[in-house]
Amino acid sequence: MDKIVVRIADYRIAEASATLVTYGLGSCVAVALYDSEKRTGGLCHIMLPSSPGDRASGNPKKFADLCFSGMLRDMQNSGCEVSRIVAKIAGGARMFDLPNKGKSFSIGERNRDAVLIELAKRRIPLIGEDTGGNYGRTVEFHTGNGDMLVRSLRSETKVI
Amino acid sequence: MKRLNESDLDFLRELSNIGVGHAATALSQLIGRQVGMRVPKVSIVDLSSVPELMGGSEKVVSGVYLQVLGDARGGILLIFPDHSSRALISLLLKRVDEPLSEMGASTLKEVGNILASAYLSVLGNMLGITLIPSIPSLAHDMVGAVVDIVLSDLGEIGDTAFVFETEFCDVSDDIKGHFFLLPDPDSIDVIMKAIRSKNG
Repeated sequence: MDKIVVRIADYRIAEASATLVTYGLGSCVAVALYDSEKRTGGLCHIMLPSSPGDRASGNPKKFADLCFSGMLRDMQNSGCEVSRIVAKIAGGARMFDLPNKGKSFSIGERNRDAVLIELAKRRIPLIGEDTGGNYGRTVEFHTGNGDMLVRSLRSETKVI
Repeated sequence: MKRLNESDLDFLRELSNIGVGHAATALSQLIGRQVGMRVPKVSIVDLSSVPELMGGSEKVVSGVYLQVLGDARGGILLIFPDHSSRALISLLLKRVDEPLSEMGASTLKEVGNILASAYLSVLGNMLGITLIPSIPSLAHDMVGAVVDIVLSDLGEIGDTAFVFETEFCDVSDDIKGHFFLLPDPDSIDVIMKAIRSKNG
């Protein structure tokens, strides 16, 4: 079975039984959305909580708010119903213990919170989560059954 | 970022060359072996391609991150492939460190500190600005996860980063590393002004 790789600051959606995979999440967050009736899922890899407005430039898919709404719209266009969609998220770690608590210090938590806000706005239930800690994660999402596999160097592969 | 012209970049390359030369000397003295450094690349890179540049997102590395404080701000990220960080530690601690102990971790942080300090003091002196490294911090993990810190710092206002990058290796070739200096986008002006005043 082919793996569809989701790059940083991007999303992909797939039907039937595909595997969407995104590698090496640190403070970034992967969000999987799944419509089990359509057996269609989407996976995104976001870098930042929200677009800073005027100062923002370039690829909108690096921001949680814009990436999320783009992915959801594409899923709706391929026949998914928001009322059936559920979500799973992983990532949002704090990789470095920075002595000066700059804006990047808590970026992982802020990414996670931004995703939860987007989910809440659309009443999409969060049914699985593996976030936080200080280690990197690789995420595989299976659109056949909605399983999310989370691999890391620290622990056994988790299925959420 | 576009406003840096070829002559500016050449001047920065030259400064970086001297800076990493000093850093290499510092590392040679520390490990008691000759260390060579490649002529640094000063380039503008697409942020999302950084993990691939390092050999793929899942490759295990040790990353030492320091914030740059002073007149210009930014970050320094040193990346050692896993085997290189082990080789460095065993050279310095005279024992095999598996898994990575607290002693091994602080050894790597100290190496990062020495390299970054040597580089920043040269760059700061030559540009006439103050550049101070923060306390180093370490992550031993997948490279994709390790580089997130700089990507998210820089990504807020652009997709590209202005990167000084060099590779260093010792004579036996078992210790290699990458050195990235990523100025904050807001600090590019400070650096550019300093260059123009020195470079005519």
